[in-house]
Amino acid sequence: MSQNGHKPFLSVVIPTHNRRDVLIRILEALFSQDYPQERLQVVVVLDDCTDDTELALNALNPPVSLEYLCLPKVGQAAARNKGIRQSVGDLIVFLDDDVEPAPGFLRAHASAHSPADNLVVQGYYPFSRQLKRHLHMLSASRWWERHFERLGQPGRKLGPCDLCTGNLSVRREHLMAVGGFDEAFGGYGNEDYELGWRLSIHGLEFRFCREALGWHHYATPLSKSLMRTREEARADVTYGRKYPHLKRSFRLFTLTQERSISRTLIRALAFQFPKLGDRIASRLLKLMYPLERLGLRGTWTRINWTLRRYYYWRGITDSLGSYRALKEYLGNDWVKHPAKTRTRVTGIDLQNEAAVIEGLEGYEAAYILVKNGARPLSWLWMRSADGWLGPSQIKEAIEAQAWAGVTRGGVEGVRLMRAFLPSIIPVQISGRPRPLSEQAQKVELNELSWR
Amino acid sequence: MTRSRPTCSVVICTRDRPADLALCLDSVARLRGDAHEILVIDNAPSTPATQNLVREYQTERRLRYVLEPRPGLDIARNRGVIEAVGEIVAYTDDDCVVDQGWLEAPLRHFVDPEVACVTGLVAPRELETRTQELFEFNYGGMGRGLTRFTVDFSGIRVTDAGKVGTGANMFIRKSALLDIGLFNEALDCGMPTKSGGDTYAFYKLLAAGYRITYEPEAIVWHRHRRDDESLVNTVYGYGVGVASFLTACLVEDHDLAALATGWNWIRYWHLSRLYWKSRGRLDFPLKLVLAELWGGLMGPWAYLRAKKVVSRCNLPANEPFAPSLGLALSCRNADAEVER
Repeated sequence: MSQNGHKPFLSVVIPTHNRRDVLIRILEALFSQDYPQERLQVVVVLDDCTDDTELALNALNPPVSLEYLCLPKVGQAAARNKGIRQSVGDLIVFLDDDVEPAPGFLRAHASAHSPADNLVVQGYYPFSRQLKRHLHMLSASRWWERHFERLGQPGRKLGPCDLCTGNLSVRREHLMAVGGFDEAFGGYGNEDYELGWRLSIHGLEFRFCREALGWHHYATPLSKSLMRTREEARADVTYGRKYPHLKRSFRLFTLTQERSISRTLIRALAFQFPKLGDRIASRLLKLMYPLERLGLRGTWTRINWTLRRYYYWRGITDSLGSYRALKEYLGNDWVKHPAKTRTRVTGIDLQNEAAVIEGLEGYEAAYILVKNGARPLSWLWMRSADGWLGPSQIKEAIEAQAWAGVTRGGVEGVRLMRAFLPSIIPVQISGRPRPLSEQAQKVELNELSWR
Repeated sequence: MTRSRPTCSVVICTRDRPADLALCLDSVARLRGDAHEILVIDNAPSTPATQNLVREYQTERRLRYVLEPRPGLDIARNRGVIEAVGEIVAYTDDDCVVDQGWLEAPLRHFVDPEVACVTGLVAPRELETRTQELFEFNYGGMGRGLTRFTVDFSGIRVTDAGKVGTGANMFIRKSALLDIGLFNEALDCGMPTKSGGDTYAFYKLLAAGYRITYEPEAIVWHRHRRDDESLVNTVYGYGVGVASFLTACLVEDHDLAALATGWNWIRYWHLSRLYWKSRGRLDFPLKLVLAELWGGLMGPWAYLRAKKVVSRCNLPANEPFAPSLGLALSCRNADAEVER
C-alpha cells in the first residue's frame, strides 16, 4: 500500500518483440511524462528480439530507472510475468510495445486508482490516425472502438472477454494474489481476457479511463492478422478447457451455431479439406488488395469475414483435430437447443443497423419496449416464415399477449433497432424479473475479434 | 467523465445575394450561445454590396468579412476553413436562415473523436408558390428525414454519400477536412459542375474511416426557388452535380463503387420516374425529370471542364498565391468562355 495516495510508485511493464523503433519512441514518451521520475520504473522484457533492441536500449540515457530482461521465445504471458517479478512499484502499468502514451498518461492511471485500492483500470488506446489508410486498418479500428465503447458503459462489470493488456494498470499485490498471467496461454491471445476474469473473481472493480490515453500504432498486415485469428482460436480452446462453464460465451460456441450453407462450407473446408481450403484462402488473400484499390468495399468485407471464419476454424482444427473432437469438447453445449427456448442474437444487420433476436426472448423484449413506451412500435419488425411482419400485426400479437402462440405458429424473430439494445437491459418483466443482459453479451461475441 | 465541447466557426459563403444574406445574418445573430466566430466569404463579388452589408453588422458580433476572388463555392468553403479558428466549421448557404438552437445538438456529437461531420435538417422556409411545393414534396426537398443516424464506411456504400446530408447545413471537423485534402475545387456552384462538392467531401470522409452523423435537431430553413425557370436550373444543376461527383470518384480515387451508385441512380431515380410518368402516376413535370436526366448526361464532361478551369486559375506551385482582382476577372472570363 502506498503512503502517497496520488503519486504511487509506478512500474511500467513493456514486453516487446522486434519493434525497436516504435519501442524507443514509446520509452521517450514515457520519460517525458509529468510524473515524479524518482517514483517511476520501466521494465522492458525482450521476448526473442533479433533486431538489436538491446543495443538501442543501451544507447539510451534514461532519466528514470530502466531495466530490461532478455528472454528466449517465451510468449506474452510468461514475458509479462517476468516483468511483474522484476518490478518494484505499488502499481503496475502494462503497456504494449506499439502503444505510445499521450501526455498525462501516467498521472491519469495513478489518479484513477486513488478512490479505492481494488481497481483494474483499463486505459484507452485508439488507433493513431495516420495508420488508418487501408480498409483492414479501418475495420480493425472499428472493432476496437466498439470494444472501448462497451467497456466505457457506466456500471460495466469485467466479463470473461473484456480486459486488454495494451494499456492497463493493476496493483501489484492483486497480481501476486491471483498468480499473474497463466502461462498455459503460450501463443497469442486470451491471456489478458483470462487474467481479467480471475481478477474480477478475486473481487476487483473495473474502471475504464479515457484520460489514460495511448496511441496504438497498430501495423499488422492483413495476412498476419488472419494468422492471429488462428492463434486466437487455439487460445479459445485453452480458455474453454480451463473454464468449461464459460464456453457458451466464447466465439467458438457462437460460430458453431451458424448453420447456413456458406458457413457450413467454410467449416467443412477447414475440417475435411484443409489443403484445398488453405489454397483457396491464399488466393482470396491475394485478391484483397486489388479489391480495395478498386473501391469494392462490400466484396472486400464479405471475403474478409469468410477468411476470418476459415482461419478461426483452422485454429480449432490445430488444437482439436477433428469434428468429433469438437463435439466432445463442447459437450452439452453442442446440442442445438429447441427454437422455443433459444435466445440467440443471430447477427447485426449492418444495412439497417438492426439486431435480430430470435425466439421467445425476442418477443418479450419487444413486449417490454412497447409496454413501457420506451420506443414506438413502428420501429419493430418481426420475421415470420413468409417475410417480415409489420408493426400492426405485431401490435395485435402483443395486445393479445399471444407472442408465445405466434412463436409456435412459425414466427422466428423480432428485429430491433440497435438503439434499443441498451434499453432492453435494465427493464424487467413484471412478476418475473429476468435480466436480459445475456442477449447484449451475445451481440458482442458474435463479431469476430480483431486483435 | 466530461470532455469540453469544441469551439465552432460559422462560415457563410455568398455571391451577390445581399438581400438573402441579410436575413441569414439576422438569424445567425440570434443563435443561442456566443463566442462563435462568424465568417462571411464573399465569393468573386461583382458589386461591393455584400461588403457594405457586413459592415453594418460588424458592430454587434464577432463577424469577419473575407474576400475570395476566385469564383467557386468549394473554393470559398476552402477559404473559410483556412480562415476559421474554431475546431469545427459550420457551413450554411446565404439563402438559408438558421434555427436559434442550430449549433447545440451537433456540437455535442463532436465529443466522439471519430465523428468528423454532422449534417442537419434543411426545411423549407416558405411554401408560397406551386414550384416551391413541387420541390419540397414531389421532388423530395433537401431534408433527410427526422431520424437521427450515424454512418461509417461499413454501414453505407461510400459513394452513396449524398444520402447523409447537404452542404447547406453541415458541420465538419477542421482537422478531418485538412486530412482529406479540403473540398474538391472543381465541384459545386460557380464551376461548370454546379453542385456535388459537399457530397464529395462526405465521400472522402467516409472513405477515410470517419463517422458522419445526421442530426435532425440542427435545423436550417432554406428558401426554395420561387419560379419554374430557376427550379429547372436547380434540378439540372443537381443532375450535373451527381454525375460530376461520381466522375470525380472515378477519376480522382479510381473507385468503381461509383459505377454501382451511378447505375442505381439511373435505374431507381430516373428510369423509374420516367416509367411512372408514362403511366400517369407521377405528379412532377416531365420537363424537370428530363432536365435532371440531361444534367446527368452532361455531368462527366462538366467535371473535366471544371478541372481545366481550376488548373487555369491556380498559379504554378513556385509562385506564392496573391489574390487580386485581375486574377479573379481572368478566372471568371475563363469560366464564362467554357460556359459558352
